[in-house]
Amino acid sequence: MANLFKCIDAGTKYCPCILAETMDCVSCSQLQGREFCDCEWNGLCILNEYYMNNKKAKKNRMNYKGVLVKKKKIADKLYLLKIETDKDLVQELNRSGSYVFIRGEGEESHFDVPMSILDTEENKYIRILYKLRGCKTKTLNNSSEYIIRGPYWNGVLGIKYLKEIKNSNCLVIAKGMGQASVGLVIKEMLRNNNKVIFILDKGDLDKVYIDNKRIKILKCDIDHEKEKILKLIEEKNIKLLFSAGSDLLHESVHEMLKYANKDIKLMTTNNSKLCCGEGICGSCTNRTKEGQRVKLCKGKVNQKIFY
Amino acid sequence: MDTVVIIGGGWAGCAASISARKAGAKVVLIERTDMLLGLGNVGGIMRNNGRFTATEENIYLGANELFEITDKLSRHKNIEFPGHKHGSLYDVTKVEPEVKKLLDSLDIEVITRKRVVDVIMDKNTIKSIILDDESIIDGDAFIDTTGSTGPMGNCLKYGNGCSMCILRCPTFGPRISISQKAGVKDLIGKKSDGSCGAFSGSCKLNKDSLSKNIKKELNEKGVVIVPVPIERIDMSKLSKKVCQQYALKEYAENLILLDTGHAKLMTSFYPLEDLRKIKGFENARYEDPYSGGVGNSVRYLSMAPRDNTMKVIGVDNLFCGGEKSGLFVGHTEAISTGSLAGHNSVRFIKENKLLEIPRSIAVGDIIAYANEMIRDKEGLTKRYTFAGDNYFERMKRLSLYTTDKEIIRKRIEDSGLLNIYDRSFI
Repeated sequence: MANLFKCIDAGTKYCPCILAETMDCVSCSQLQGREFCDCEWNGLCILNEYYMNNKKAKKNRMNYKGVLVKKKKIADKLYLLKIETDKDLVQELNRSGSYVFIRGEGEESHFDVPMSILDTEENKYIRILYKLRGCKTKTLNNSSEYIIRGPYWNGVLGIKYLKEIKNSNCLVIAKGMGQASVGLVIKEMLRNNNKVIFILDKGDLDKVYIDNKRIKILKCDIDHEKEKILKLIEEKNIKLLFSAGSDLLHESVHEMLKYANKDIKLMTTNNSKLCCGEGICGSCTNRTKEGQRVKLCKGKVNQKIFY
Repeated sequence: MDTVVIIGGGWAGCAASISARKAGAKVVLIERTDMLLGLGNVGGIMRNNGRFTATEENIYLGANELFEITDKLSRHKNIEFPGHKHGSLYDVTKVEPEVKKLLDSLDIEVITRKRVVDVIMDKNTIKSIILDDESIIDGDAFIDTTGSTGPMGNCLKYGNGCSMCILRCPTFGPRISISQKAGVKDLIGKKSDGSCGAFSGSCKLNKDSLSKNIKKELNEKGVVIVPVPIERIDMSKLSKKVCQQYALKEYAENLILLDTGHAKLMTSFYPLEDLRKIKGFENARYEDPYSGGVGNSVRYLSMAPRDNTMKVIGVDNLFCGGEKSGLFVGHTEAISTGSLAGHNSVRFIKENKLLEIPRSIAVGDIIAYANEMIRDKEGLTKRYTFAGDNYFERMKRLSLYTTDKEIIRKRIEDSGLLNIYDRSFI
């Protein structure tokens, strides 16, 4: 029997999803076939939503068309795209952790590649940042019209800390392509009257691609300057740290925080291999330190359950 | 410091807090909503039938504080209604703040709007509990008084859906079984037809929504009995309710209202359009649960196996009280079991022999009797209350029922337990 986690889609128009019909809900014990309630509580009752929807899943995410507005080559193999797409979709993507599956128009659906939303503009445009790595990104790079499936939101683990933080100091550490998912998070931090310090380890990317007028930007080599960062955390009384980069970066930040104030909260980018985004394919399944499986396209967890 | 952590601030949790505090422990009481007393905020019936005896027994045992409040804030005393004598009805709109004040005056740390979501175990011992905000509270002994009602999905599956009762799960989150988190499987109560759980037995109407005459009579006498037109009598409802002491035919043939501040309607739920066809109820509306026309909360879905000292079997330092500890109905029963759980939690910390109340005392007998009965299937369909049904019959048969305070006092004295809950171990 699967374990119970909060679900990023609970309370949205996409819940209950197909997993409720197949008795594989991420959150609800009864929708996993158990006799009684024992949930992590999403603020609403998924079983109730399911009954109210005549015991059927809600409509799945749709495909939208997108058109390239601007393409900028930032460095070798690195591109920043501005894409115009459906207004409702853009509106729903204006939320930390948002991502879409995108492929070139005319391509088959196995070319869908998950892409973080760096930013949205005027309820009309999304900006994404990617590096040519494999077959999907290379194919995507040849297109100027796209099929976009979304919205998806679980691009950041530990998102509840971001919802709670107000009037505090936050630190964002990004390395390489990790920068692609910090834009919306920083906006939300600022909106809640937090001060943001942004540390960029250059990795693949040595320029800052986020709206940087209201944040303090530092560049450093994270692997070799941990003491400097720890000092900054202490001096600035950092309450929330967002690690945006690979799992190696997350682990290294997690290790570093053992020497910092234990009340500091850690948020990370979700680096699991997202494929369907609907909890069906299982490619994003990861194991917690206790060995429990969690589908990271849906499970609203924080990084520390893995260490 | 020796700390007792109590999870669930209903009558049982409040009673356990007081007895554990009086026994000398530091007490932390955690309540997930913003009010203590849980279903006690919509209950109100005290001292009816054998509850009179049990109340006086508790007072002589030293658990007097909460009964002083309910007595003081009774809107009506010594009233009769079908099947019930010498009842008191406390004012549900006044009791909770008084109890909160009392706990504050005893230096009991009350944490509201925090929900316990898990436990940290060391073998069979609970070391700490984890709250929904990820904070951790350590303790030496723990008491599970989380009740057995809801949450929403259970009321949906075993009842008629969330009826928006005083427990307010959608706002404050669901009940969680602490004993089950500690690895002990819950016992489940059944309806007489074998299905799980049972409906709460009464709903409350807004008194101002009733006719002037009904309101006046309620305020003056405390009880109003209105016959249900014959074609509307539904006897089948009686088997589904928790409170078997009110599952008498009079309760199907009449609308029985009690004045607890609200107009307490002694039936689990009653379709609003049918209710409004009855004279005096033309404008009736529900106060609790808000959807009392459709359903009510579902209870007895989570009980911990325990011994007669209220210790949960299978966990070294976990006690239980109230509905969590058996198929009990009522505030008096919750206070009786909660008080013993609180007292014994401190005895446990101080490695004293745990107290078992002898069966010559009704409070001791019901605790032991309910435990015996729960072992078989039929016992799981019964409810145990001093106020009626099988247990009150038993009280009468065993001469445990009396309203003579001197007899009750002597009973407690003879067992050597006079004011036992006042004894401090620390």
